[in-house]
Amino acid sequence: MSSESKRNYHVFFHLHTVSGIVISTALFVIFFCGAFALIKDEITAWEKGDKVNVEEAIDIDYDRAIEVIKSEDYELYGRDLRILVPDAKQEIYFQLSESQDTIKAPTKEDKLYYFFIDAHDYTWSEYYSFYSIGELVYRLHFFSQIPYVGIYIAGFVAFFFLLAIVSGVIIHWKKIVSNFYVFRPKAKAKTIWTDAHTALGVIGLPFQFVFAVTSCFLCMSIFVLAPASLIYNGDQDKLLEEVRPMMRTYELGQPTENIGSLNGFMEDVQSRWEGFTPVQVYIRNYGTDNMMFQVDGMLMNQKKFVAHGRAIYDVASRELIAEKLPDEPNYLEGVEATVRALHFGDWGGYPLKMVYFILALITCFVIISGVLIWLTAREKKNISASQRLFNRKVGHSFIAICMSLYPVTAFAMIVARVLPRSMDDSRQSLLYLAFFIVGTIVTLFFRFKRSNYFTTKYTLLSGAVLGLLIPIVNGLISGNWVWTMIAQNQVEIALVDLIWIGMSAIVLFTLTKIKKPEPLSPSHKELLAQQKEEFTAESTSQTETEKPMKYKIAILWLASAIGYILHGMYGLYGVYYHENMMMDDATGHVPLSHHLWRVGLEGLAFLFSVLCLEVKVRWFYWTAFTWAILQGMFNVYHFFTALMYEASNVSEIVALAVMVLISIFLIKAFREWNKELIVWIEK
Amino acid sequence: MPANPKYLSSGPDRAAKITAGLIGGYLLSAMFHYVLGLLVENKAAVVATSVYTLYMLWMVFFIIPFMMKSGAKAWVYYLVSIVLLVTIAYLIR
Repeated sequence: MSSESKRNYHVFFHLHTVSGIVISTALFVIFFCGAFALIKDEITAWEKGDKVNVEEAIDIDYDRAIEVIKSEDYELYGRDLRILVPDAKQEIYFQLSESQDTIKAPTKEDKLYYFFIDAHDYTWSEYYSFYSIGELVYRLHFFSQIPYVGIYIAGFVAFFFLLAIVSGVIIHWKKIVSNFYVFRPKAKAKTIWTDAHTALGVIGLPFQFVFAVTSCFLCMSIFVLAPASLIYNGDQDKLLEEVRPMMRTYELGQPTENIGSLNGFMEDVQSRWEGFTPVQVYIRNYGTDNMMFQVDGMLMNQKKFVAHGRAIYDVASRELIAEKLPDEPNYLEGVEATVRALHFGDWGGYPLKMVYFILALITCFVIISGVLIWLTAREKKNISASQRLFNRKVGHSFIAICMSLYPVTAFAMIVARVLPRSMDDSRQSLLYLAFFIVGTIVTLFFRFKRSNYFTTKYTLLSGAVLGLLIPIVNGLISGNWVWTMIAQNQVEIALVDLIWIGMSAIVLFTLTKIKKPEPLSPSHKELLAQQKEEFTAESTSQTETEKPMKYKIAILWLASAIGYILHGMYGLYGVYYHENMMMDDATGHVPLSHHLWRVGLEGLAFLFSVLCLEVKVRWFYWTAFTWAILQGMFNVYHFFTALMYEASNVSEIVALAVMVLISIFLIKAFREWNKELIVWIEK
Repeated sequence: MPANPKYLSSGPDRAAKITAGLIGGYLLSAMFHYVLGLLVENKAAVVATSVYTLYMLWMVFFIIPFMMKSGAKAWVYYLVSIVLLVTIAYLIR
């Protein structure tokens, strides 16, 4: 190898390692939850337990649905209605656009609405009236629980996943074929992980590449939109009309009382194109003389990968006014349809979804084996004790978070199945409790057991047992036993049980094969002692007399407290400029949450500032340090949301940037203080 | 086997490479698609294609600075290229 290519090899190796390690945990969560997101609608059907009859559900009585919407007091005039055809959930999704008649429509109607109409008995329900565990897991797979920035975090994880894939292929390129066949199960741990990582990485490569690129677009489409609207000179309507014709809107006609029936158009489309499956319906310009009925859908045959068709009818004359034939190739519409089809895996029925599911779990395994290579490669004598402790800490945390996901998801599925329908109102909070709070406790428990073998064994065991309980609980509660569901051809409901049974079977088999490894040497205690020696040597070798870190930390805490108080004063700022002072729903009482925020931010910062001057115990250090990290993450989050949503508020953004800086210094100072404390304790 | 640190840059140099790849790389990829959209008759096809090529090109531009010796040099190349593309866009629109 020439020196230049040798250098590049090391550079790419480092890029692969760093990008992989940084995103590892987030990526694992994304792929694990994403696997279940593939069947989220089936999970909803399974949770509700009602028999699924999609064929009947798809056959929508549009006039009846419109009557129901009107009886719920929605004014439909001038709006566009977007309708998603029901899936296994058996609910028709409705979205009402703002009224396009800006003169006639009162301001109250200038609002977007979305809700469900039941596909069988046509009852209206709020979008979140039934919060499914499938929805929770689906939302977690792009971090939607973090408001505003969650989806961008997921987007950048996808981008760095792409980096890991590209750099991984580059470093393995020369041996990509020969290494694929190498498998040495009897060799030492690191070799097994390396072989598995490369072999499974190559098998999953096309799948993973597709997901990295499509996720970049689905999460960060704004980056495509920016140059696109420049190309169109800022003319958004023209851009949409040309690039996404299904979104095209039409000028509003004259209001009319005489609204024809909306039924019959769908039958007409289906008689035109055999095997056509509608995906969404638009009713445009409702209540006007140019009201339209637009159907978008796919031709599900084996001839073409994406055969999307569209038909637009004029409601008054009942005539077909525009169509896009499914067989007619169209690059513009094909691109986005392909991106979505590839990402959601809905182009080949359940067998394909199962392939996607397995490939997603294989990707999870590739991520874990990657981290384990990183870990074992760093268990070396020439690495300092403090660095080794840190690496192990990363490993324990990673394995604890990722492996806990399996039993916790199974547990939350059971909770979701047990909760009765009478508790629908508190369903979301209870599921959050069962998933996130229980998940945090389980993760912390395994993290501090400090044994990756222990964590792996018991998360797999508990996950497999809970997974087997899922079909049993489901059968006991609803009588929907797997065999009865299969006998009644209720594939959607049986599928969820079968997946959990299948996973449990594979995991139980795996458990019989895993062997207890040699305990790590040196042990955690020995490393701690070595670390203390290391820090003592470091502090005695320092010639200059550094002030103890505690003063620095006290001042930094004080600075953040002042920062929070200054930030609080922004609320009063608008007064000078005659901004409306009262909040919309103010009652004269200060709500409890306000007090909690004040105590949490300003109060704790002051308290820690004072306490760190006097208290020198480990638990105080860890409490304050944890809070400093949480506060730091909050400050970073706040900075980015302010940048995104109130970019004109320059002075506030500068203040928030300073807060981020203070947080960084604070966390750095804590690491130094840690060394002092380790040396000082038992002196 | 971790990468040999003698081949890796550190500190401000590394920061320059990362920012050049992330910010400069995006601007370059976006500007490239913008100029292409102005040059080509079928603008809509460029926009539709950018749905996937924008991120792929961005990734290529993200990697290139790491292959260079100095991060500052990467920034200079990127800034010059961006200014060049902006000038072209200004002249042809």
